[in-house]
Amino acid sequence: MRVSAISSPKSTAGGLTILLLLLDFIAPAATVKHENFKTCSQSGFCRRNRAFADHALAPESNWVSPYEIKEDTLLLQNGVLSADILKTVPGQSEKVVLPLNINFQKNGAVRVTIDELKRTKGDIVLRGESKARKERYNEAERWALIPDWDVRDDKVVYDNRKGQVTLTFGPESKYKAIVTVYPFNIKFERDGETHVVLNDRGLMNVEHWRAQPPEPEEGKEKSPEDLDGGWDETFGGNTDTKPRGPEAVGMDISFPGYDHVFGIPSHATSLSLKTTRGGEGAYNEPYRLFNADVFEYIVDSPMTLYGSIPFMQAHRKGSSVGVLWLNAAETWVDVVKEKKTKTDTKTHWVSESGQLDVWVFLGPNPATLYKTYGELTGFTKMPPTFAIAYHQCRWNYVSEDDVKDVDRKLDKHDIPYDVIWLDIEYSDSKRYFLFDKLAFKHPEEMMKNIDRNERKVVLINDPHIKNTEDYSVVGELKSKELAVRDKSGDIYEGWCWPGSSHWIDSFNPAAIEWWKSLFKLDKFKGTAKNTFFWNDMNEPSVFNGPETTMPKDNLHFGNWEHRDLHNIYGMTFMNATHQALEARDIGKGKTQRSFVLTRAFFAGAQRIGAMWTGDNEAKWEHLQAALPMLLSQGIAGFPFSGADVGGFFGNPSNELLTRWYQSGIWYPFFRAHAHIDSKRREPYVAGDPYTSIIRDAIRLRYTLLPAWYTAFHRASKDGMPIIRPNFVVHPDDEEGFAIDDQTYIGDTGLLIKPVVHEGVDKVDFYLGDDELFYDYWNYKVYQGKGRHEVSAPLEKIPILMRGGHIIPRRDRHRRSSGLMKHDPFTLVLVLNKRGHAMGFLYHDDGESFDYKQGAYINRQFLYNGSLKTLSSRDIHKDRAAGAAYRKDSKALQIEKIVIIGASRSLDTSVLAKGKSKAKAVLVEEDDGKIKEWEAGLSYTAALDGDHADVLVIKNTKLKLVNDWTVYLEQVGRDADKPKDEL
Amino acid sequence: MKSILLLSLPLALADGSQKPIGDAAWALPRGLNPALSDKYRPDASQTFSCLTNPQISFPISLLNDDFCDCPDGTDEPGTSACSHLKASVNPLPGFYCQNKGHVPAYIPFGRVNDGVCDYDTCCDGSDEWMGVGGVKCPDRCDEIGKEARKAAAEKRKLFESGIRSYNKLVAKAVLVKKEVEDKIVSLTGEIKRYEGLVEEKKAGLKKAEEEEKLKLARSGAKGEEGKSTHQKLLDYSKEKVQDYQQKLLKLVDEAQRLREELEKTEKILKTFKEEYNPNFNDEGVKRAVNGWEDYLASKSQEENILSGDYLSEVTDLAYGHHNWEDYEPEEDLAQDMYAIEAFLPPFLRTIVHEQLSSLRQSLVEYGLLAPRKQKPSAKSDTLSPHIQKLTDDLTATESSLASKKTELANLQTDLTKDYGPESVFRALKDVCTEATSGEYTYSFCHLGRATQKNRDGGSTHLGDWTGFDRRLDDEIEQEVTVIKFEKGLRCWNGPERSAYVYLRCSAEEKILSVAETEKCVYKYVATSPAVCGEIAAEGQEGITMGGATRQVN
Repeated sequence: MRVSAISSPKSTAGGLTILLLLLDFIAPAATVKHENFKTCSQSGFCRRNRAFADHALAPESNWVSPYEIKEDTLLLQNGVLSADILKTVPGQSEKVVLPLNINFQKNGAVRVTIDELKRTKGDIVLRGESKARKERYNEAERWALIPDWDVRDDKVVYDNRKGQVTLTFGPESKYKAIVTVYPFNIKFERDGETHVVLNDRGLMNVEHWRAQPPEPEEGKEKSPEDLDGGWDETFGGNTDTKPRGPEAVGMDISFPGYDHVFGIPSHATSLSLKTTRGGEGAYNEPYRLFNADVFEYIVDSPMTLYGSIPFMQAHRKGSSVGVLWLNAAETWVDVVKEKKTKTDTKTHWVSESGQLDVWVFLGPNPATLYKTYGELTGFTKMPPTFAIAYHQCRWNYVSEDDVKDVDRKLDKHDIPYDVIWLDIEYSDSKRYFLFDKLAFKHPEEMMKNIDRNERKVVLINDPHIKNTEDYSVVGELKSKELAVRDKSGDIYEGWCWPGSSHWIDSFNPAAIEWWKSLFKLDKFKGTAKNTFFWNDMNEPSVFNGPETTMPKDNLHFGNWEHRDLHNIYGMTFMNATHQALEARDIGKGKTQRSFVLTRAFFAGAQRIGAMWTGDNEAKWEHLQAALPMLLSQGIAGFPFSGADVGGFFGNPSNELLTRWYQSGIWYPFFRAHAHIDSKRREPYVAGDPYTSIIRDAIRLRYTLLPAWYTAFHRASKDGMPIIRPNFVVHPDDEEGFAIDDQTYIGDTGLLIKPVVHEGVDKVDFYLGDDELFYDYWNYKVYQGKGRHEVSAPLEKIPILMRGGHIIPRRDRHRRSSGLMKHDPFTLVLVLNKRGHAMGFLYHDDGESFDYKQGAYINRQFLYNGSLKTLSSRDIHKDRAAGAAYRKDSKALQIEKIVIIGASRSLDTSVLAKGKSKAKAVLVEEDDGKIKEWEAGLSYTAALDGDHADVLVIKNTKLKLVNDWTVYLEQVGRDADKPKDEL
Repeated sequence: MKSILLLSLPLALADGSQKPIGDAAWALPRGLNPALSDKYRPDASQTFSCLTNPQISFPISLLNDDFCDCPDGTDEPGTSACSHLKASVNPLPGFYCQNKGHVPAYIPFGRVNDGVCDYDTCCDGSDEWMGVGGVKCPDRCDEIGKEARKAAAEKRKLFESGIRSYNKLVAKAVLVKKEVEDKIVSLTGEIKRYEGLVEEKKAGLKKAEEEEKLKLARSGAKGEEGKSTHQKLLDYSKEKVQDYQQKLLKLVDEAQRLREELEKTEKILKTFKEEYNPNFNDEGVKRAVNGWEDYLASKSQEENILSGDYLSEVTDLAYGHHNWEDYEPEEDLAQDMYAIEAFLPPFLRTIVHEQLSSLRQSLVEYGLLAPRKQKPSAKSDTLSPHIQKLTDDLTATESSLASKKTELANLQTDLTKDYGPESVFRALKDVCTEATSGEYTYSFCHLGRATQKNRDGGSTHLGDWTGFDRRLDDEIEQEVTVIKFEKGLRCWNGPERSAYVYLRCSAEEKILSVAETEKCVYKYVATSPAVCGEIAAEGQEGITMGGATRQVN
């Protein structure tokens, strides 16, 4: 309910300003404003480099790449091969010197960095009165990579012959980098095959610095150094002054024999990337990476969105490799495929400025690829438990009464939730850090009330800071000089929600320290330990800026131009908030895990928080677009991702809303959100049957929280995506490589194909192998690689359980995840063809950092179908360090063990007839003592030949923290009564 | 809030198959309503059968063992073990808190042993009997029960005084209605009388007119028509000039008004351009800004004709005085053809007049003759004061009659209008209530209008009274009377505003809260004695279902 205390401006017949504000929300035709964003041809360096590529690739051009290694500069030292590359410039005798470094990492990753000597020396003249730095930007690694990423391979073998340098490196020295001196290129081999080639097609292009040539005299041709779009460039009424002139870097990267490439999120497109040079089913524009606030984005487009991760995976049967284009400037990526006997995928990367910095990963499979990538950019942060539960959001819950009402109604309808969110209207006239005095008179009390059921409040906090008198935050920002500056070095002023605003320069360490001080509980009045934050508009979104963001010639800390680091800005802001939250003393000197949701991101943001796919729409095609986008996030190492459930703009039909919840419970980040102009749509609004169906869906999410948490733990350790597409789980199943409308959840073997079309009552699952798959709800068995139809009426979420896995659950229904912490677990054993199953459970307190000191439980469960035993094994890295936490967690039990497909392991024919008395003997080691007891069994025979039977071991009283084994014994005599007690 | 579910349960299950045995040691299972104890008394075989699946039975030891055995969950009335079952499956509404010292209540099974003392439902703290995580919930029923009783007493008091007020209102409403009915009777009488008067006066006027005409015929008409051409031309010019002056003045005024409006609009657009949120969001906004800039660029730079010398010139023209006396002619005896009329007998006169008029009209149409002066006073000049008086008198009487008829119709409609039960809202006509919520002050007037005022004094029309509705007031879980105010000011890019006032019984007219539930739809919660009558029959409260409603799916 929107209590009118701060009634939305729209509905107030107030003055003109109010009217004007409204104009922002009118969307006559709901579609992206294409004209607000550049196409490649409107972006000078993209246009140039595409033309460059067209020229080089034209058969008649006989193109030879003008880059050559100066052989006498080659030096391998300490795992780094360095050399000078010389660029020949037509009509000039002097060659441009480009220092090359190839850094070989112990884990097999290779970094190729190319800089420009003149620029490193500062030996250039800037146009205008620019105060910008002269070097090419070389600090992307400070943000994208973890601090101690540089672990060199000390066993690189160097071999130089006939203009070719071969370097053997990597795990077991299986990798080779073959560097050709002229024309310069690098081939990466593994197992005797070439997987990645840099400058394969000679599209490498480092635009060296040159002074702007004078206008040619009448009738004379332009100087070849006078590059098209290389100087002042105007778009949408904004002029970019480009103090360093043209300075783009480009490189082509080929993946011979690879038919599929994935990654480079965020784009509203298919998981397997389409080609970009036209033709049927292809795009005409390159994929663009330039964080931007794209209003009402369209689906199926290579257009840029809110965040960028320049990581690409190439996959084929038997191999997975990847590249990271470590550049934070505006970037475009062309993808083409060449079909010979095999298909080669060839890509072309261009960035506006900065060093040429490419990382190559040679796999060999998806799991190792993600691990290697994560070892550099970091793994997913272990979130607090509430963060993976259900989030109830809306722009806006407008008052504390409103918050109370939503909280009360969700409880009344018995719908669990963990977090209620407050969008910008919580603030006092868009001055963040201040609650609206009228609508939120008692925020502390509100926080306390929400905390009663262990729930949290998330407040929005954006990087634009209102430029107004009487606002201490902006006063400090100015006096401490912590804001982003314009090209002349003055504080930059632009427009965002509050009107005139300044932007925090979160690249500045002093700005981070200051930001941290603002979040202290005694400083940010009204917040409490259960208050967390959401960073929106951090692309940054500037309403009156070029392409709705900052001018590229703005200046940041260290006088780096905004151009150089644009795509990283959002992450630095999110980082500042994250640091502030983790530094926050929540009482008695204690700290806790942060939770920050961001809209803008870059490689490495996974170490900080969660992202969502921005302002989607309440349309079926946006529901369809969400899953591929989130799968892509997982590929690119940032799996903690979600899409607004229900669709941000517009009003979903009850069916769409219901289907979206059924889909959204499988997003790693699960939040419902809605635009201020949309109708209320909290789960209880629609009424039955929708409300009940949505409640069941949300409950299912809660039931499976142990599985989700375990999947997050794995992502935090080795980078395995939390939701996984077919090709990750079945890397050799070629038919399944492009499948992106179904997903596996962690290691659970749960396979979900959400219904994302209107009026549909069945789905077509694709099974990637011949394993048994069981319907989650009725145990119907599906087997055989390929398509299988599964019914999916509105009330049913299509879920299959793949044989061979053990799924941990917590079945008791509670109001929030926090209130589940004492509850017992259920283990669901899904037997595979041979009757076996395996699974994992990771558990910790879900809020503190104690897990880093070993305060966690990590178990592996193994069911041996031949021996008919289920055992729980401790896989804690340091058992001793976990002892105290184990002791604290003694009360946690396994209440129930469900064996699906029991007949795969047990002779159930006798069970079914009640002739046999089976029993479960439980043996547990508790505090060094061996205990043994029996537990009851309950058997449900298969419905028919198409279904599986189920055996339940009841009320086991097994302790989660202990090692134990369950022996299933069948005693061949008639069953005693009662019949149901087997 | 009713105990229907609970009470119907034993009946539904009373199949008598289980024979309770006397067992002094037997205790009521935890969380069970004592009303159901018979269902749970162990039989001779010491087994327990699930309530809705009696074919499934278990040893009594599995009752409340914190593991869900029964498909309907009835083996765990005292734990959360069966909380995963849908509420529609389990015939038990929840964990039964005895709440001694207060009223018993059910709490959903999912809230049993979750570490939270749900005192608002279980004041005895019995829901947290396991003490998970060290939680302790001491019995607070004495205190809570006392408070609740106090609150209930206060509520009852309020309610009772509400009923008293209601009765007064009803009495007043009866009077108001009676007034209307009386008024109808008296009006009907008056209308009759006025109808007679009108007839009378019509006849009188007719008579007087005929007399006047005769008089005129006798004395010979000497008016307009007797003037010389010069005089006519002079009169004509005089009037024309006056006419033109008046029109010019009107034009100047109109132009000035338009100029002010233009200035106002331009100012709006200027501020718009300066202050608009240049959000990427909206192409419409950008188009508007571009359009404004284009307009400015192409705007005529010429001097505004409504300023400076030109204006004073125009003003002079408009106000200029002409000395008409200077042009007065000698008496011209020439008579125009109309004069002939005077000499004709009345019946012929009319015919001739008509012929002449139409001839004149044709001449005017063909531009051969100047149109006749449009002097507003022309008629009065020609009418004698006596006739004029009679005519005015008739008109006044007719208009009184019409207004009385309208009033009667309104009153008759009013009688058929819905004014709520016992027409109680009649007594509240034009009673207004207001309250401040956030930065606005909201008000509504019974049978009138709902309004939102901001602090600057600006006021927004939220809707006019259109009638009543019955809707669920979800906070108190009761269907209540709602007053509808609709067709208010249209929202920007949205619907017309409307306000719905949910009424609860109390002696006082008071707004409790106002919320914008949907875009431009306002929900008021208010109290009024007017609704105390309809809920007077509400019975005693049953066993509450704490916190959550039972979901039936």
